[in-house]
Amino acid sequence: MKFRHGFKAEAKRIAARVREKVGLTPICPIEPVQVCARFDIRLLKLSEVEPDSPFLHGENRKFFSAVTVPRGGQTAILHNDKHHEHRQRSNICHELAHCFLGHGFTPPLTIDGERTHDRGIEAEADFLAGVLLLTDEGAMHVLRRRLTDEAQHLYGVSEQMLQLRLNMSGAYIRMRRAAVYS
Amino acid sequence: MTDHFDSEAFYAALNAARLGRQMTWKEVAEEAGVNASTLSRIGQGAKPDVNGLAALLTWSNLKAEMFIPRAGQQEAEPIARITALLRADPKLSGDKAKLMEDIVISTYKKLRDD
Repeated sequence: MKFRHGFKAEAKRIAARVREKVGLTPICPIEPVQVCARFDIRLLKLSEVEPDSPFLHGENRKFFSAVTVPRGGQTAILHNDKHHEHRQRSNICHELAHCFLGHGFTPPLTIDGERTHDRGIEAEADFLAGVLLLTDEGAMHVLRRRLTDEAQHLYGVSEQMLQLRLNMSGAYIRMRRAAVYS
Repeated sequence: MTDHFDSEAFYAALNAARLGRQMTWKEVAEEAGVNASTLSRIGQGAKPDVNGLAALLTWSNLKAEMFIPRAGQQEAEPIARITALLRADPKLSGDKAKLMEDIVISTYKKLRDD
């Protein structure tokens, strides 16, 4: 997915501002629950709002991750609390990213009963969620301090997310260049 | 008397603008130059006073006419006004998509009722 011009820099600025507002340095792990509280966003669990939902069990869990619902001046993020803990953090950050990027809300289904899905805004939210969870500075910190083995636990991210961020942040490339010139 | 200004829609738009700028309500009040209580009152459905409205419109770059229903305009049923941003499998069968919609409606109702 090719992003609009300037998007990645904008996402990094947003992540930096959010971290500043919750009192975190760029290399600190982020706590999505704390971010929701700071910005007056209600965080709800699927198991509490819809205890009988089929998306709470077995294979069906993968079909539903999270949703952001606004009403008046309130915003709620409802997430699937039966996902792995790392996945929950990623899901919540994805929804926070939609809010911080000012993405427009749409009816959940089209008039034909299909899911509304915009690949462009979903890719943007994925990117910002990744930067919120592990900033470029955080990725460099992981490699410089040789924390790759502990990083998943330290930052609460999946192996896939960790590798994605180490690649996309340019941390691997910068470390390789530094090794060549040292 | 007929309502000439949709405070709820205005507050919702302010909320979206606030999050889009990564700001808290307190910061909005400070930056717009209004009392925090002015924002709380609008959030509870009160009409903003002229000065507060002007300050918040300037801060948000919103236009007042966006929140003034035109004569004869029918307000959508509350359920039809529900919107969301959903993270779920994009290729869902009809029954699962309907279950997803039910989750959104339950969340909306929880916000309304709590």
